[in-house]
Amino acid sequence: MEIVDVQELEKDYRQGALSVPALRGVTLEFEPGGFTALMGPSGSGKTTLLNLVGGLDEPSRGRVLVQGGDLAAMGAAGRSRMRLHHLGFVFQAYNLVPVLTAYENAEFVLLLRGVPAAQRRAKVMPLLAEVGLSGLENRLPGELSGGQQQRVAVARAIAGDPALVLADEPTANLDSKTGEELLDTMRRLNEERGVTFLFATHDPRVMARARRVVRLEDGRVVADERR
Amino acid sequence: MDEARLLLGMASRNLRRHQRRSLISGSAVAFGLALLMVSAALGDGAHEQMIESGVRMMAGHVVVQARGWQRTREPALAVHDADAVVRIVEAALPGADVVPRVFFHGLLSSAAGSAGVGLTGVDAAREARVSETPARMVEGAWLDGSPDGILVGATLARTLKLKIGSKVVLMAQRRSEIESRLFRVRGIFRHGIEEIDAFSAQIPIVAAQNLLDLGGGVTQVAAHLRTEAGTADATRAVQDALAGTGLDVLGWRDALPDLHQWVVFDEAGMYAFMLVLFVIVMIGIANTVVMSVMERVREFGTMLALGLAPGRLRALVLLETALLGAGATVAGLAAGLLLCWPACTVGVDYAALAGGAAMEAAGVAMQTRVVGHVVVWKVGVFALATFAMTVASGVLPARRAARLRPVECLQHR
Repeated sequence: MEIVDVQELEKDYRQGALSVPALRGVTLEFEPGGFTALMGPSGSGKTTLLNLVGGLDEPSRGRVLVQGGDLAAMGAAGRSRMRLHHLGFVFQAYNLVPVLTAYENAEFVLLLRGVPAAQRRAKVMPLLAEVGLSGLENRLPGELSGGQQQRVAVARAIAGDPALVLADEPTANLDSKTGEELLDTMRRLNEERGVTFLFATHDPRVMARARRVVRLEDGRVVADERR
Repeated sequence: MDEARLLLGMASRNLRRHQRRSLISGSAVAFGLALLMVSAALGDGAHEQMIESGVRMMAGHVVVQARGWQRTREPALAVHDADAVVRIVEAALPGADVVPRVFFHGLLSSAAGSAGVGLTGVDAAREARVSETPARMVEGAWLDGSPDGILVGATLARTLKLKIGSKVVLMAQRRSEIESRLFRVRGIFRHGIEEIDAFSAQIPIVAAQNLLDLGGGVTQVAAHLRTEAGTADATRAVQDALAGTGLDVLGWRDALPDLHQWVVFDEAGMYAFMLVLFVIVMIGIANTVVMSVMERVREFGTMLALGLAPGRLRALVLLETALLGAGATVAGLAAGLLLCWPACTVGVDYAALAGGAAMEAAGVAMQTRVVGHVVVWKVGVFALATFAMTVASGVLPARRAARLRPVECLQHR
């Protein structure tokens, strides 16, 4: 069974009196264990699609089913619970909570789920080690490099064993070496742990590692290549 | 529990994150509370001094009067058999100083001229225990057993060119006739209040009773308690003891309604001013919290995206204001007590403002040095109100944070 089922998805944005279409009838399915890149030029609808799949925004028409559940039927509180329990997020600008340490950021989702402290620790400490942050657990985001911060974000995204991790331009703010290392880490997590990733990106290095590439142009799927 | 601890920790760190801003906001609240405490302490001290002075000069904490006198001030309306009433009141209020008085108006004449005066007939020995006048004598001495002694105010003495031993004739209305008596000036007092020093005089109570043909009657039997706080209980006790006599038994608030209203209005004015001050401070705090929310829109969007419930985000913002309010309240209490200490021990001298050694309010003479009095329950109310108002100033920004849409927050630059 697919994790995400996108059916005839459309999204329009209002600009004054104008209605600007961002997505026009997108239908896609994403299976467990995937490492998928949504590619396309700026304005093609990548981030819009990612936001709709993540329940961060509401479609104008069409449906998004996550693990069989219709996001539109869930309401804001239901979508919030769905994100907490089934999705992970990695953002371009890392988006760590600046007053929380690396460890506290990584355990944030588990804590919101009510996981006891000992279990959180048992889960998060090895995870931070796995993404290469041993010894940096007590540092605040401001005391970490961009690459390190994005690793914390990856650890935070997968700490709760989500069905799907949505990554919006995760390498855009990193230098090429750090970006490569981060992508290798994410790919390893995909292969070894079976974490499902869906990227919105311009980065050809993501495309090189992806097992499926969906190309968008002007809000439409123009190619869906499986490797 | 862990989530509550996380939110508390985040709130505390968020406050420290903008230390200077938090300090400025907290200081404004703390300063407001400290100012309120000192103002209230000085106000309460001044009011207590006024009440004490007014009660000593013009009445008592509890007074017994003939029915109707409070409204008409008619000298003929007397408490008959004052000695018996004094004994009853003394029995009802052990430890209280009980004094009989006769109030009336008359014309005082000397070789140099005449002046209208307000007169009080007093029991010299009893009155000396409660009155401030013995301590205000500038010439001569307090009344003794002599029936023709009279004490006059310093300005009155100057107007009538009176010295110690000078003869004066006092004329007063006795029922439908005019009666006069000869007195000798025994003492001259100065309260520092023109209305008192220019227009008042005191004579022995027996002389007043004879002049007005009151027999053993008096205008008022006044009981002075150790503290004003026991007035209500004492009034009830005297009312019970004199039930069925047809006499009015009043607490000082009813006996001196002008003084009571002055105190009430003065307090209300002070609190209204402080409320306005606090509302201004709270608007400033609310503005700071709104700024702090708007600066963290992306951060809030991230937390919402990760699954933080909007209600928890509201709680986080409210926790921040609660922590700020708690810290500011503690600091304000400390600063307030520190400022209250000299205000309540040394006091504040308003001599320069008053232009003399005494001030007048609601017809009562007050010393210019006001010694504050901290009323503990009021401090508690101020502290709770300060805390509550600080938290309240975060309610709208917290609601605003909880209504943010994650997708818009994440796109926020």
